Amino acid sequence: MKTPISKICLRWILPALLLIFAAGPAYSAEGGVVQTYKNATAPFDDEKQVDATLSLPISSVQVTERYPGGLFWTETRKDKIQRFSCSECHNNKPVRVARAAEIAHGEIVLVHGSEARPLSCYSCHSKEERDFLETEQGMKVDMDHSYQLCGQCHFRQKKDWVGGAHGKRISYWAGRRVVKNCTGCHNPHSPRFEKRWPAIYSPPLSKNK
Amino acid sequence: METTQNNIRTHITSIIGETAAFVKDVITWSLSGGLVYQIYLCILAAFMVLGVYAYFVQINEGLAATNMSDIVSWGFYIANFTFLVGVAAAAVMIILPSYIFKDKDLHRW
Amino acid sequence: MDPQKNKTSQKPAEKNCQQSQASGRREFLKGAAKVAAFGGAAMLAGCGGGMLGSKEELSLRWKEYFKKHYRLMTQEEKNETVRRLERLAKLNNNVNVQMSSAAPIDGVLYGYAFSVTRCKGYMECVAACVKENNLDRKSNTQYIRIFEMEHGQMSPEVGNAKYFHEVPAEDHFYMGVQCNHCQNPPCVKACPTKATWQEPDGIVVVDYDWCIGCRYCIAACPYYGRRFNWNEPVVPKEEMTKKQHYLGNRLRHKGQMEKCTFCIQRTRTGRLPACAEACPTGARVFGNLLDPDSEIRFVLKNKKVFRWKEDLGTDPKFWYFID
Repeated sequence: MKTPISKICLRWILPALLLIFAAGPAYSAEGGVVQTYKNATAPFDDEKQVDATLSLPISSVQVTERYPGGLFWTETRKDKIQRFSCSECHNNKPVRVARAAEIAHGEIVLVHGSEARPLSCYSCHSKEERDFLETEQGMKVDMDHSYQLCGQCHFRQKKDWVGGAHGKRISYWAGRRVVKNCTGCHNPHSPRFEKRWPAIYSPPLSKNK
Repeated sequence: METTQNNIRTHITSIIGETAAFVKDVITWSLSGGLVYQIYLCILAAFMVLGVYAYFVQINEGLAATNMSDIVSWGFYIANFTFLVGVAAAAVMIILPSYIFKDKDLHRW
Repeated sequence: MDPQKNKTSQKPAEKNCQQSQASGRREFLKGAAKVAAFGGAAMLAGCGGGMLGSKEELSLRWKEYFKKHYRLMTQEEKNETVRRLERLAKLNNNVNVQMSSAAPIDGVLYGYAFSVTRCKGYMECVAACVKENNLDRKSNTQYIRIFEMEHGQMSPEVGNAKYFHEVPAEDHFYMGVQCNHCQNPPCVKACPTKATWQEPDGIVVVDYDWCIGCRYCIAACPYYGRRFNWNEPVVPKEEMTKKQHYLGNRLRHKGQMEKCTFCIQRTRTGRLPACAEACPTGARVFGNLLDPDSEIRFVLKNKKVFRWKEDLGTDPKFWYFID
């Protein structure tokens, strides 16, 4: 006897439907969040969206380069250097100040560069104008814009810093972009982060450990 | 109208009456027995009191009293639950035929 | 009890017996009701006398108990519950908190990137998170775990999160994990009371008052992003963060789940999360994924990024990258 139509439906169409509906959810997150953000090409106007009073109470200077979002700022450095300005003492006259031996930069330990080719003071500091830094090509660099000097050798880190993958943004993710400058995190005379103990520890979950 | 109301009232009253009588019978039947049985009941009652005390400790201290952690977050509770669910399902399966087939003999122990 | 008894064939004697039984039952129930009412009144009188708290506190707690789910509240009701919680904090602990119920910002989807090269294991982020989110000091709850891993390993499961020595250790690198705020979160699917959900700006949040503490979400989360309050949390008053958000760092109670909320009380006002702000090496990058100029988008475009347990399909918004 020929099989009736209903039996054929049950035999083939029902499993096919089940397969389709079961396979559907497996592909539901098509692309997921990666697709979502790749489709987001409209600029985000955070001045309007987020609380506009996001000006940081720190002194900042505008960086001479632009990142994809436009202008950005970095914190100043000169106001944090105790003995700035250098030309108060270093002005081609013999240095005669009280306690000269103590403040003659003797405490600076210069550990910058590899052991085979270490840096010297004049690698970065200008001989003629002590208030400025100097690049290899002789360009004077203001201490607030030291990234121009650091970026000479550390060009990859500088590119990342401009984009946001290196360094740190100060306090806010929205609003005016103010980032830490190179010397805000790295001591320019020994830039490598030192070993230290962690700020806190994580106790074991079970008491037996 | 009044007789229907009366009928409903007596119906409900009789259901309540039967339930109350059933409960009373169960309690008297389960509490009656010899000395050994009474001692056994006392031991079980002691465990119940211990359980109630443990429950109050858990309510006050929080679930930290069970010494469970985020790694073992369900512990004995889930093991107990799944086991007893299995036991209950088995009990239902055993009793079910006596009701389906309306066989009085199957009701017996 | 005879199951064959049929009401319509009752004899008069049985009927009388039943009625006397009925009146006996009625008397019993009346007596029981009187005892219950008296006992209840005594308890309430005790309550009113200050045993459980002042009248204002009780009325606040009553209203809090019967409030709606946060997602169903109107903005007015949200403001009301926030005011009630502030007042309760003042009455119970004598602290002045500022709680907010700020809505998500339009056009924002938060993303996080963690630089495995830059992290040196200082755990400043963990300390800042504990302080910012009012975490329990008694059980040392920490949303963030930093794994110390040997070179060559990639999965944090084989790392050691319980280290405490001078860092960075030789031949080791550090990888931090926390709630990944998945776009396809398994914890949200597992919650039986819908106490946890994903907000439109991407943060997976918990309404602590709606959580029943079943710990299903811990079982569901593959990243161990969620924490349970096994005991009543202990937060010293002088270390408490006063600026709170209803879905964020307000004080939780025992029996409630909690998790990293990307510091919702900070990020919805434009600030970085506490961990990102505290990191001394700049290993943490946070921003808006929908902003093509943001730093997180720069990282995702230019750096080698990966996500943890990508094969599970949870679609997390926490990327790791190396220089």
